[in-house]
Amino acid sequence: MKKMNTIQVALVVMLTTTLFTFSSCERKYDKPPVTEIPVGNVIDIATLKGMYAGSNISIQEDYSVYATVTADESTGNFYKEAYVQDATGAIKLRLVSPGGLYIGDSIRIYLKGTILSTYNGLLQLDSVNVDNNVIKQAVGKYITPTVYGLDQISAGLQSQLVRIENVEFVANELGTTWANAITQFAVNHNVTDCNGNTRLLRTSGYSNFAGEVIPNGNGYLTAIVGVFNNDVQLYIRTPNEVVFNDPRCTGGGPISCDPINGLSETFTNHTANGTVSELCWKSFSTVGTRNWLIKEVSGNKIAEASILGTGDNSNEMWMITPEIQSSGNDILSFQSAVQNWNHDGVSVWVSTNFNGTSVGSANWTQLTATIAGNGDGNNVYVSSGGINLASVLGAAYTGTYYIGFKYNASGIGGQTSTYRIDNVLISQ
Amino acid sequence: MNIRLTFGFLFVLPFIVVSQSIEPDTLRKVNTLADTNIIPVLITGGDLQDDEAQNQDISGLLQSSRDVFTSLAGFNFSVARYRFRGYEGLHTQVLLGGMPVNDPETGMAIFAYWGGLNDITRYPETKAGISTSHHAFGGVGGYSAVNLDADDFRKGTRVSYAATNRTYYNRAMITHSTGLLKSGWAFTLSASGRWSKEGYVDGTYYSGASYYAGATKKLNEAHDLNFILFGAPTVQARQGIAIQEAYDLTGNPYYNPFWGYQNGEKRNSRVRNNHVPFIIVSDKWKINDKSSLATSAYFVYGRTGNTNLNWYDAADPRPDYYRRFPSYFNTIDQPGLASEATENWQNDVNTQQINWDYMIFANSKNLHLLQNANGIEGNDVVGNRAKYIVEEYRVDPRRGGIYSVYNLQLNDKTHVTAGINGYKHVSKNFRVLKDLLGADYWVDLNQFAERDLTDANAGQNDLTTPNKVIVEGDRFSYDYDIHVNYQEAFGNIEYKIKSHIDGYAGVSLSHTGFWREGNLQNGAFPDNSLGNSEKQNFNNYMIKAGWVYKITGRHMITLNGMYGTKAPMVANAFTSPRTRNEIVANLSNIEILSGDINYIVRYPKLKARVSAFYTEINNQTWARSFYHDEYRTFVNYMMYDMDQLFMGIEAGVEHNITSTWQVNGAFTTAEYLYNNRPKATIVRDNSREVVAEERTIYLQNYKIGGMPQTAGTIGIKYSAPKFWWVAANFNYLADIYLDPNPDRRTEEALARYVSTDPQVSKIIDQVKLDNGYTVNLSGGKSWRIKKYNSYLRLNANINNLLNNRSFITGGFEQLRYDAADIDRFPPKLGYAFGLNYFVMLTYQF
Repeated sequence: MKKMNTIQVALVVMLTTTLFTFSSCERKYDKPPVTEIPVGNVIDIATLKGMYAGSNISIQEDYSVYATVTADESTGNFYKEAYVQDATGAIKLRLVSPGGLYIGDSIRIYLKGTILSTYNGLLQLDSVNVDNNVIKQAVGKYITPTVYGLDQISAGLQSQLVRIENVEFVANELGTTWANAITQFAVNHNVTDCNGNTRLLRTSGYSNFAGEVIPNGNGYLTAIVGVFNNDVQLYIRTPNEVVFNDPRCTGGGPISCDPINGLSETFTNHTANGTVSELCWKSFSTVGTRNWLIKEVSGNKIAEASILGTGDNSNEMWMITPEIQSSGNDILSFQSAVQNWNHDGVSVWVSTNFNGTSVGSANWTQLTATIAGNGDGNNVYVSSGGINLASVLGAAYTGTYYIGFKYNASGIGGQTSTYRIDNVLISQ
Repeated sequence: MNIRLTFGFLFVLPFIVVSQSIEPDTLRKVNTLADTNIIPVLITGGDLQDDEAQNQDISGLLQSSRDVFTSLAGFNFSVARYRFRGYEGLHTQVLLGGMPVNDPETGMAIFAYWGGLNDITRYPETKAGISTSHHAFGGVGGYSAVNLDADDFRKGTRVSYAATNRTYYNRAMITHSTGLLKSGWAFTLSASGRWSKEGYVDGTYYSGASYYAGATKKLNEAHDLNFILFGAPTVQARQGIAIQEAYDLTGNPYYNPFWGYQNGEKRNSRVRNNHVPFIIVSDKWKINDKSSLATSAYFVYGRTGNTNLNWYDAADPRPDYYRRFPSYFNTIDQPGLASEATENWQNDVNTQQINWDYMIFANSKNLHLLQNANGIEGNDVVGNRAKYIVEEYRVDPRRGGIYSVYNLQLNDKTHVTAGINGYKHVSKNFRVLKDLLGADYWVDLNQFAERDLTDANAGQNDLTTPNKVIVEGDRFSYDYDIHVNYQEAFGNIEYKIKSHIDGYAGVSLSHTGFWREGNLQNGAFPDNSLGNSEKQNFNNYMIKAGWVYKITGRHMITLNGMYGTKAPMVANAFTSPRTRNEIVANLSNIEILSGDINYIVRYPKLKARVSAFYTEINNQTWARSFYHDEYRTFVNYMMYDMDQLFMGIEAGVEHNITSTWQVNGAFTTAEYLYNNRPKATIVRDNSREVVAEERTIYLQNYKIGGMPQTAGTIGIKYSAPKFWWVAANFNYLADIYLDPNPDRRTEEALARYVSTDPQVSKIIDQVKLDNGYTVNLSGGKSWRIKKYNSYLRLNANINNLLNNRSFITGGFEQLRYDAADIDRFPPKLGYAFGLNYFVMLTYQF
C-alpha cells in the first residue's frame, strides 16, 4: 500500500510538471523579411512635372524622385497631403491615408502606382501611399524658403515654400480669425503689401489655429504657394511663421501696438457691433462661441459681454487691454454695469507674460475690484474704485503688463447676466 | 411603495407575464414593432461579449444546483447565454474555501481565475434566488459556496483526459488526495492543462494550466486548520464578433476579425493573459455540538492582461473597420470601389484579416525625428517611430480580507447564523507596450487630445515627461490604482413557526468605500489626474425573509422576499478613469426589491417546481466611452437613474417513469425590461467639457438584451442497469433582443426627422433575434476494475447535434451611430457554435 502511495505521488509530480511545460505560454512570432522598394530611374521634380501633358498619367514604371518635405498635416491646415521640393521645383503629394510625412523628412518617392494629375489647376502627385511609395532617407533636413515680394508670387511658383516680406492683412479683416473653428469652414484672407498688391491666404477650418485671431501688424510670412483655378493662394504651415511685428503701412488698423504709458479708453473710437479687437485691444472666446462686443447705447459706446441667443451650454470670454508699460505706481479704474443679474460674471486679472495670442498659456493674477452685482440696478454703472497695481506687480516692476476682463456664464446653469464695461483708465 | 412591497401581488404575475402586452417606450408616438428583417443580438456593449468563457462557467454553476429547474436551465440554455432570472453575475455571491471571490470593481465572479480545477470545484452548494444560508447572506441571484478543505476530498487519485472542439481541444487533469493521515494532516493536489493550437473559431488558441494545493491539519477535536493555494495561468487568443456583412462576405458565421497572418503564421491581436493566485488560511472551529465558527483569511495577488492594437498617424488596421466594407463605398456612391472591396473580401486573406506583415513593413521604414524627447530640451531621437503596436491593458488585483461565519443551533426550533466580511482591494491599472512590430520606439501621446485641443501639452499622457519614448516592456498611456474597502456584517435566523411552517429572516449591513489614485499627470487634465480622487462612501443594508409552508411532506409552497440597497459598482463610477479623478454625476446606491413564490413537489420519482418572480433593480448607473459622430470625438457617456424590471415564471420537472427511463423538462418565460426613462450626461473625453446634461433616454419597456427571455427544454434519459446511460434534450430559445444603445433612444437622435420618416423607427426600434433551437446529446459508461479497486469512466456530450449554424445567439448595437445613416454602424452579431462535443475518459484509483 505504501508503495502504491509513492507511485501515485510520483505520477502526480510527473504529470503536473508536464502540464506546466506546455501550458500558459504566450506565442512568439517570426518577423517577416522586409520588402525592399526598388529605385529604378531617378528623376528630379522638374522632369516629373514635365511628364504631364494635359491628362492624368498613371505611372507604371520604376521611377524614383528624391525630395524634401516642406509642409505636413501636423497643424491640420493640410489633410491627406504634403508638399515636397528639390532644387528643380516643388509638387504637392495627395496621400491615400493621412499621416507619416513630416516637415524636414528627406525622402525618396517610388513613383510606380502614383498618378500625375491636376486639381483645379494645381499639378499634383496623387495616390501616394506613404508606406509603399515613400522611403525616408533622413530627417530634420529643413528647407530654407526663398524670399519673394508679394508681387512676385504667381502660379509659376506653385507648391513652393516661400517667404514673403513687408506684408500685412487688409484693414477690414483685422480682428477676425484664421478660419471658422466652429463650422470648420475655410476662410480666405487678403494679404497686401505697401504697394497695393494683394494675394489670397486660405486657411482650413480644421486647422488647430483656425479660431485664433490674425495678427495686426506688418511683417513677413512663410507659406506654400497654391493654385485654385485662376487664383493664387497662400497656405501657411503654422501661425508662428506669420511674424507681423512692424507698424502697418496702410492704416485702418492700429499703427503700432507697442507698450503704452497709461490708458484712457472710452471705446468711442471702436466700431459698434464689432468684436473688441481694435486699437490694440483683444478679445478671446475661450469657451463657447461668443466674444466681447462693442455696443452703442444712447450714443455711448461700451464693451458688452452677453450670451443671449448663443445656445451655448457655457461661455468664457476675455477682453484684454493693449500692452501697458508699468511705471511702478499704476492705478486702474473702470466702470461696470449688469443687466438682469443672476450671477457675478466678471472678474479682472493682470498678466505680465501674456503673449498677445494665447490667454491660456499666460499667468493671470486676479485683482480686487468693485463690480456691479446683485442689488445694483439694471445697467447702472458702478465704479471699480482705484486699484493699485503696484501692490500686485511690485513697486519695482518696470516691465509691461495686460489687464484682462474675464466673463463667465453658463446658459445651462442659469447664469446668464449681461455685463457692460466702460471708461477703463490707468493713471501713472 | 405599498404595491411594491405587497408580495401578494406575485400571485397574479404569471398572468401578467404571459399576456405580453407591454409596449416599449416610444418617441413621438411611432410604431416600435421590431423590424423583422434585422437580425437581433446578445450583449450590451464594451467587451462583455468577449467574456464567453465566464458565462459558460456561470451556467456550470447553475448545473451544479440540486434544483430541478436550475440544473436543467444551466445545462441546456447556456448556448444563448441564459442568465438566471435575467440578473447580471454581480447579483450572485460566490465563495471558494470561505473566501468571497466576486470582483470588488465589477461584482462579477471571474470563473476563469480557477478554470480547469473541475475536480476541486465540482460540488458547490448552490442556491439560485433568495434563500436562507449557513454560509453567506447571498445576492438576489443566490449564492454558491465551494468547500476547498483538503481533508474533504475523497482519498485516492483521479486522472482524466478530455477531447473537445470548443475554445480548447485537449484537457488533462490529475488530482490526488491523501485522506486524513495519522499525523493529523491531509493533503490534496490537483493540476490540469487545457490547450489547443486553434479552437473552434479561426485564429483562436488556448493554453492554460491550473493548480490547487490544499493541506488540512487537524489540531485537535475542535480545530481544523486549512492552507489553500490555487490559480490558473491562462493565455487565450480570443474571438471577436462582427457585423453580418462580414459573415456574408466570408461565408463563415465564425469569422473572427481579431487575427491575421504574420510571416505565414496565424497571429491574434487580442490575447488574454491572466494569472491570479489565491491564498487562503482558514480555521474551522467546532466550538461545541451546537455551535461552530469558520474563519478564513485570504490574499489575492495577480495579473490580468488583454492585448490590443494601437496606431498613431496611420490608417486603422482593423479589417472590420467600417470604411473597409463594400457597404461603406456604396453609401459614398463609389460602386467601383465597392465591387473591388467585395472582390478582396472574398479572395484576399489580408483584406479579411489583420495584415501583420504590412504593419511591420510600415513600421520598419517610418524614420522619424522626435525633438525634445523625454522632455529634455534638444534631446533629438531619430529612429523608426512605430505606426502600429501591440499593447496590453493590465489590471493587476491585490486583495486581502477576512471572512468569518458563526453558526448556532439555539434549540430545536431556532438556528442562528452571523458573519463578518471585510477586505481591502487595490487594482493596478496601466498599459504596457508588448510589441513594437519592428519599429524602434513609440511616443506616449494621446492623438485624440492632440487633435482636439490647441494646448500644446494636452496630448501628453505624462506631463512630467513630455514626448516620452516608449519601448517594449515600458508602461505608458495611463497608470492608476483603484482602491476598494469593504466591511459587512450579516445575520440570519431560521425558525420553525409551526410544525408545517418554517421561516427565516436575514439582514446585512455593509459599507463600501472606493477611490481612484492617479499615478500620472495627464496633459489634458493636469489638475485632477494625479493623486487621490474624492473618496466615495456608501452605506447599505439588505433584508430578506421567507417562509416554507408544507402542505404535506411532498408538497410545499415557499415565499421569499428581499429589499435593500447596494453600492454602485466602481466600474461605472468614474467618468474616464484612465485620465482623471472625475466621479460620474449622480452616483448613488442601487435599490433592489425582489420576491418569489414557489410550488415544490418532491416524490422519489417526481420532482417539480413552479415559480413566479418579480424583481426591480433600480437607480443603476451605466458608463461607457465611445466615438460620438455628432460631436466628432470620443465621449464619456453616463446614464444614471436606470431602473430594470425582471418578472416571470419558471417551471421544471423530472420524472422517473421506470427505473431506467426518465423524462425532464424546464421552461421559463419572463419580461426583462428597462423600467423608466433614465437620464444621461455626456462629457467630451479629452476636455471635460459637458456636451449634454440630463438628456432623457426613452428606454421605458425596452427589453434587456443579451439573453433569451423565453426558453424551454424537454429531455429523455435512459439509465441502463449495466452502468451506462444516454440522454437527449431538445432546447428552444426565444425572445432574444439586442440591448438598446441608449443614445439612439433620445429626442436628439431624431432631431433631423419628422415623425413619419421611416428612418425614425429604424433608429429607435429594438432588434429581436430569430428564435433558435438546439439538440444536445449526452451519455456515459463506467467500469469497475476490481483487481486494483479502481474505476474507469467515459462521459461524452454533444451540443447542437443537428449542427445548426444559423442561430444568432446575441450581439450588440454599436454605441457609435450615425443618425443620418443608421445602417452605417450595424449591430455586431454572434452565432452559436455548430456541432460541438466534449468526451472525457477518467481513471480513478
